[in-house]
Amino acid sequence: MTIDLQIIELIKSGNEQGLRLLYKHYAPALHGVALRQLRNEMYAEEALQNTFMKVWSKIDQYDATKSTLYTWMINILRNSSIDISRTQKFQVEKKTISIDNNVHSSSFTESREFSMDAKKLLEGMEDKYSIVLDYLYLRGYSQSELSEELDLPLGTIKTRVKKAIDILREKLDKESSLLFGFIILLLLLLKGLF
Amino acid sequence: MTIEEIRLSGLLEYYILDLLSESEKQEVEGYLQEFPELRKDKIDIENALHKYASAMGIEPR
Repeated sequence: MTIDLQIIELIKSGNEQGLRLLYKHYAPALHGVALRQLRNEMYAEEALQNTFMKVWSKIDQYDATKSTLYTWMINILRNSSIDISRTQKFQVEKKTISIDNNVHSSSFTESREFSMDAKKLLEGMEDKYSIVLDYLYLRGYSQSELSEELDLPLGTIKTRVKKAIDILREKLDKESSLLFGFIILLLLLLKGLF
Repeated sequence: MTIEEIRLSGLLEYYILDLLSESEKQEVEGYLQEFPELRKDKIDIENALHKYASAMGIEPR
């Protein structure tokens, strides 16, 4: 991904434009995960800020052969969210209304009102697959917590999350081959015109 | 395991989602060394999850 290379180069040279690009490209995805995990806007923003600060100061630790920039960042974010959730302040506030203790009553965690992008991506995916991906990947449930929550064996949780990712990949593959076909068609048309 | 068996096993997905024990992680890292073609699969899975998280993303205030 060229944008990642550009971001990494800018950050390595201490150029703040890199941070701006990073924010523009990654903030909604990372913030969505932090908000679902911490269920509080203020703490989610703290996790997001910690993540960007860490990327800025520890960019030399990023190894492109090990993971994509995104995966590296989401792991930093998850650890930061866990650190925040363990602070005394968070634990105390968790008992008050400022942190939504009950996952099921929370508007953003339980909302099935998806964006257009999400609808397109999840179209045709059975709930039993999308729910497992949602809980494990976005809400940060452990597989044993989810196994208990959904009353399913661990093996089933794993098989379903693999299936969900297979469906996503298939969909994205199709999308990119459609786009490729369209570009070829456009080139042929242009060639015919001139 | 053959490369196809690894692909079907879900090990790469579980590795990225951090669902594996330390010894299983080492097993996957061994496969990635042994079959460099698997790295492309790994990147594809990471990109699919990235697209998913972006589509489900929430803009900060």
